[in-house]
Amino acid sequence: MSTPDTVVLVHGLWMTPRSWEHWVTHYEAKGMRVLAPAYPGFEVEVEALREDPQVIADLTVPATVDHLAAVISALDAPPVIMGHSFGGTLTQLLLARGLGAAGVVIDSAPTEGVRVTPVSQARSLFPALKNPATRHRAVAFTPEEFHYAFTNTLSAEDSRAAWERYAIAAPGYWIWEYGLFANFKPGHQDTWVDYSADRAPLLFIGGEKDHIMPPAVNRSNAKHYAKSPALTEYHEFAGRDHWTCAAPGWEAVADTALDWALEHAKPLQRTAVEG
Amino acid sequence: MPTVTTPDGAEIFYKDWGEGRPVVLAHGWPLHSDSWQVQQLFLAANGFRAIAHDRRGHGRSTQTWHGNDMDTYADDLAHLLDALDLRDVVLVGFSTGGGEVVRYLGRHGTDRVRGLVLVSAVPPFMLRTDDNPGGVPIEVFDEIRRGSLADRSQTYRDLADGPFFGGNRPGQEPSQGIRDAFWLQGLQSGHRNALECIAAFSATDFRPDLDAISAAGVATLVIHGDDDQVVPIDVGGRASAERIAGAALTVYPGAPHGITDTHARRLSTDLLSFCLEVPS
Repeated sequence: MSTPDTVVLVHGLWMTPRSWEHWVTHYEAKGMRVLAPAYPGFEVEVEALREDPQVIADLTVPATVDHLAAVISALDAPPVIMGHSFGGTLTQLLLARGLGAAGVVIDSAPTEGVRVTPVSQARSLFPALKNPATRHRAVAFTPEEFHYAFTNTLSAEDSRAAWERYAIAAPGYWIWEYGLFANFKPGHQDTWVDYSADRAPLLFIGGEKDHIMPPAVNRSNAKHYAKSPALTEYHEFAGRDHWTCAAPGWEAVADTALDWALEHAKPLQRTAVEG
Repeated sequence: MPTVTTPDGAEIFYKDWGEGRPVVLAHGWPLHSDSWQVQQLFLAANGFRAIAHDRRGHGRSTQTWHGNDMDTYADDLAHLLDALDLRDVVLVGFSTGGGEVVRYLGRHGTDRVRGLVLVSAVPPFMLRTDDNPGGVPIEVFDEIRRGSLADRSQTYRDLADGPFFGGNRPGQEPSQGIRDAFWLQGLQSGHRNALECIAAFSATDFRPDLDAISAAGVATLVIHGDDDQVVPIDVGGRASAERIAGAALTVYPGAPHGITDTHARRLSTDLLSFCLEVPS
């Protein structure tokens, strides 16, 4: 076997593995093994996380990357790693650790040093930024805020349905630290990657109408890898918002992601199973 | 250095940071645009084009002999907005800068502006007069003038250590750094310019300008600390908010005059919130 047979899907902030439910079915129907690991502590259902968001507030990025890395390292061969939004940041951090045969990041949150902040992003993140106390709390979007930030191409009714099925709070600390202020702090932060290092091939997918992680952010992030010997490509979908993995037409995004990953994946070197 | 040149030859220095809809920040006496640097960086990093200029006679702008009055300050601001062809601007004025932006709107109209924020600002009218009995007695400003003429450097030190950042209040401990920055910026202003500016900020009656703003329906946010010892909140923020129809008033409890530094992050987020929410 020369191409990966496993896809690991990394969800974003304000979300759980449930956000991948269509993709899991879709990829499994194509014969892939699909894992959608939760951030540590997020293994419970959406409703339970709404009930007790303290686990969200307490989460850290290094613990999350370690957790996901352990899941991926336990596989018998490097998988395709795909991440949406902050899951895209985490995917970049995982690839930087040498994990994965290929990576696809969709509407990715930036890694450290990406300084493009379109006003729609500021407006989307503002519910978390406007109150400094949120730095130490879990921060949820109201349905209206969610509609602006995530699902702006949907009707208010469809957006509300998505919010009810999928949305949880996010750790305020992450938004503060990895949103605005990481770029103002000296030294390497938790979302730093070595942009010049080698790693698995990586595709950035942006969405023209994405408010919270607009194309400009993804384009800038991709360009940061110019000095890496590894393959980095950027693809943009017209008319699609941040909810691109579940909004109508999501199949095209899923197929583009998987086709690219399987075409460009590093040849597999299966880990020998020691007896 | 980027400057615009006014018809009387004064060069007005400005900083133009970021991309997006413009926000123009007007500073207080005797400072210059660096006093906005925290807010300017924050706004520019969050999707706005943040512009801050040094008023004539202050900072890196020309120390003119004439023109140290609110009408000229407002005209200089108009030259800047025209030269950069800024539209849909949110104007933000701190203290004396609040007078400058208000007088700009009164003299040049609201065509280029979609919002106004007054921070610890001097309007409607600081000086106590027969028809402004709640104002500040002229002796207070005469004392600043006397101090400036006798020992300007020490006068600025005393202002920075005491009332400006509330360091004379129990529990308030403005850092040495922000007090030094006040002193340093203050001494960069021209002696005559800073002296005459005291009259400009204290004895200019902005009530007609506020009425024009009110009539034009400019979205307005007023931010003021309720322990402001330089522009008392009842003379400044509360009175402006009452005079401008529909203005929102945000009071920072226990806050002094210099909230650009002492409440830097809160002020940054309040400004960003206003800029995001005010319709174009």
